[in-house]
Order: sequence, then structure tokens, then C-alpha cells
Amino acid sequence: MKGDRDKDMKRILIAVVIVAALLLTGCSSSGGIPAVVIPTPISTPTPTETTNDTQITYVDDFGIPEILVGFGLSGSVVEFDGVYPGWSGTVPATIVNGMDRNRLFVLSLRSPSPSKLQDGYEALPQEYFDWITISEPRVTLLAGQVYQIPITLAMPYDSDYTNKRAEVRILIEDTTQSGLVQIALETKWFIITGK
Amino acid sequence: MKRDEKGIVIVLLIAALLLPGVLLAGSALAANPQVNITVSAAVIAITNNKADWAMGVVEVNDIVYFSVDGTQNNTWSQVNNTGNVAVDIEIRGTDIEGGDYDWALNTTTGSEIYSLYANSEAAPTVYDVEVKSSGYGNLTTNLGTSTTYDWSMKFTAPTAFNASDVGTEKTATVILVASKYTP
Repeated sequence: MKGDRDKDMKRILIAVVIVAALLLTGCSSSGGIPAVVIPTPISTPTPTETTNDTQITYVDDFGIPEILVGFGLSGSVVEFDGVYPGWSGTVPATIVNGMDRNRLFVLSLRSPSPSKLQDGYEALPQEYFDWITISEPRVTLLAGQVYQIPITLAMPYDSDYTNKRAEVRILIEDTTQSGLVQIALETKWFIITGK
Repeated sequence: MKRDEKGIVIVLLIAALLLPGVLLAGSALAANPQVNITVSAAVIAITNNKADWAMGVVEVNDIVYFSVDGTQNNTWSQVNNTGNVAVDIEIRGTDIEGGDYDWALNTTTGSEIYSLYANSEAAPTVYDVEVKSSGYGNLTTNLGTSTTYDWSMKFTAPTAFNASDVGTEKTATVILVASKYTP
């Protein structure tokens, strides 16, 4: 009798171990449901901050020069490293309007010229331009005004554009200019997607 | 089965049932890697000291340099880096509009087609930077702060144009686009 009980006990324990092993396998990171954490949008230029799983770092902060004529742009280069499907984040483009007059600015996306692409990068395919949303594509600024325009990058959940290094430009044009020669500025966005 | 043995089995079963939930929560927290965003707060800004230029009357096949008297002069205009970081400057043009017929901007001239070239930093008297309407030419690169760059353009008129264009005022736009120099 005692021998039979021991055998039953062993069988039950083996069954429990097998069930546990199967459950463990089923819950490994490769087979589990991927969780998506959308970071809180960031729009304040703080030297370094961390929000959820996103860290934003500001470099080259030399202050804002006095711009008497024309306009300037801060946030002139932005690099996103490790973007994955379902992630989104927001970074401002800061326009510094000169002291000379009011201006109407228009923001748009463009592909960089092939000869001007950063080494190791490809132009972000135009079919992905809708990943980028400019909150205010047209904005009028008063003379001397400094203004932040939030721009959001959102990689769709179902995107397979992974393990890529892509560049896209955000062109800022002053539409109140007239005459033969006009000035525009643009920010470079480098997008590195995860594997 | 003894009571102790039953207790052990129950504990193991409960543990087996709870473990997946604990692991799932753990994997959810660790599923997404950190995204690092680096923003250059440097300010780019440029000015150009020539906004307007009246070319005057042109005939077919005319070559006109942008200068006071229409002759070659690579210091017609001056762009100045007024920001606090080095910049690249690209150049883009438009078709010439006005009258019944626009003149298209292209690499080589033709009927109702004109060309426009700027001079480059490397060869200031050689006009080899094509000004395009569908893309951008590289005017200069790595222009330092508070540094100026002299430049000019060479216009070549169409090989032919419609008689109705005679005496018509036409205009075009050239856009200088600055971006942060990234070596």
C-alpha cells in the first residue's frame, strides 16, 4: 500500500512539474503578448529627462542668439534611437522669429537629397511620412517671438520597418518673403528603428 | 495519500497556476526597450543680403550673370551664418512665371526652358551648382558661425520662346535652405 502511495505521489509531482514547465515555456518573452507603453509627450526643453521608457537629452545648448533679421530654428537635429512598433514621442521645433517683422511660417516634410543623406542612413520612405504629425503646420509669429511647435513621431503597431536608419527633413518656410532670393530652414530627423 | 502529501501537491498546483501570471507581468514590464531621443538645441539661422534683382530684357540664348552689369561676378550676393552652429546651405529654384507661357527650369535649355547655375565654394568662378526645381543643389557646406559666403548665379535664356512673351515681365524664386552641418 505504501509503495502504491509513493508511486501515486511521484506521478502527481511529475505531472505538476510538466504542467509548470509547459506554462513557463508559454510565457517566455518570445511567445508572450507584447506590452506597449506609450510615453508621455515631451515638449519642455530640459537638459535631460526620462519619461516612461523614453529618455530625451538636449545637447548643443548655446542659448538663443539675438536675431535681428530673418528667423532661426532650434531643435535643428533630432535623433530617435530604438523606435519600435507602437511607440510614439513628441519633440518640439522651436522657431525664433527675428525682430524685424511678423511672419507666417509653413512646415512640411521632405526627403533629403541623395547627396546630402547622412552616412549609413536612407531617406525615410514617403509612405511613412504619415508617421510624423506637425501639430501646427502653419503658424504666424510676431516680431521677436519664440515659439515651440510639437512634432510627433508615431510608429504604427503593425509596421515591419525595423532595424533601419532613416533620415527625413522638416522644412520651415517663411511665406511672407517676396523677391528673388528667399530663405528657409530645416531640421534633420534621424530615426533608428529597433531590431 | 497522506494529508501532508496532499498539502504539498496543493501548494505546488497553486504555485504552478500563479507563476505564469507573475512571469507575464514581468515580461510586460521588460518588453519594450528604452528609446533615446537626442535633440540639438543649437540655433540655425542665415541671412542673405540680396533679395531682389532685375535682370532686364533678355533675348533667346542670352547668358546673364547675376551682377551689377550682367558680367561674371562671383560676389554678387553674400549669405551670412547668424546662428550659433555651422550650417550646410542648399539651393532650389522655380520655373519663371508670367505672361502666357512659363519658362521651365531644367539642366539644359530649350524652347521655353531656361537653366540656372550657382558658383560653388570649391570653385568660386565656376558655375557648377545646378539650381533645380525638383531637388536641391549643394551651395556650400560647413559654413561657420558669423561667417559669410559669396555666391552668384548664371542664367541661360531659352533657345526659343513664344512671340507673346516679348515685353512680358516674368519672375522666379530661388530658395536657400540651411540645415545644421552634421559631419
